[in-house]
Amino acid sequence: MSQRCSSSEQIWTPSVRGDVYQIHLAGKKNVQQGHRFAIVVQSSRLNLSTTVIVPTSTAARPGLHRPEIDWDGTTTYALAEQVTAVPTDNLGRMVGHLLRSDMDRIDEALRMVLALGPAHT
Amino acid sequence: MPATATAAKKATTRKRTYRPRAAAADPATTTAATTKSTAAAKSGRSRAKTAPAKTGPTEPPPSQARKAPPGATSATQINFRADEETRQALDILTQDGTPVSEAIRSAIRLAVWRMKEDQMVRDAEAAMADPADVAEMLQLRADLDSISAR
Repeated sequence: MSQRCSSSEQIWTPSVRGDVYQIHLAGKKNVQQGHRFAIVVQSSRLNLSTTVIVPTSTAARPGLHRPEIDWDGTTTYALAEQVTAVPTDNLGRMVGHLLRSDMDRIDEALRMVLALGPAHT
Repeated sequence: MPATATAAKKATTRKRTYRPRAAAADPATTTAATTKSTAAAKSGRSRAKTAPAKTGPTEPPPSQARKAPPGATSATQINFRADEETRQALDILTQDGTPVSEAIRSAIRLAVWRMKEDQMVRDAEAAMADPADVAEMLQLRADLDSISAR
């Protein structure tokens, strides 16, 4: 996962596939169970009022459908089985962008969860 | 169908399925391929000796594979012994014109995919039996609901 500089954050308003947002949890302290992030998996060309994301968790049990992602030295899991659409305006603060290798593993997990088959057959 | 026509069709199928390209390089290649290689060499039509560059875009010769730069798509040549059942299965997989190599590649990828699916099922069962994971999923659901309701 790579951090994006704060200046570019102001320019890139539409979310891009692979962007990582820190989910703001109202009334809760994120430090308690680690931060929760949302990884955008929706096509970057699809500009809607909602965005399809894969949430992350540091407390989830590892699995093949939950690819491991390193965020600033902390291991977190992308929960492909929890893929969902959320209002774009409520995504929170964008904190970075996933590496291509991380997105490849998330794509593979999504293909398995959604029974889309292997990428090349 | 006349007997001669049937024999000709079988010969065509076998020719497509077992090119003599690999026969000269590896003694482990099937007997059928070696026999065909000899026959082709006698008739002056041996692809393995005269035209390795004509093997098609999906099957680069080993020399090309070795020269591929790091990160580029490369191919590794693997020979295996096909028994009768496998030959029949290959005939089915290639009857629509799919090259043998591509059919085998797809079959291997599909086998790996099935293995991963089985592993995913086991992982999901383990997660379901883990109270901590179930609690985390409930918490996650609440967090996501709070985002949607905002």
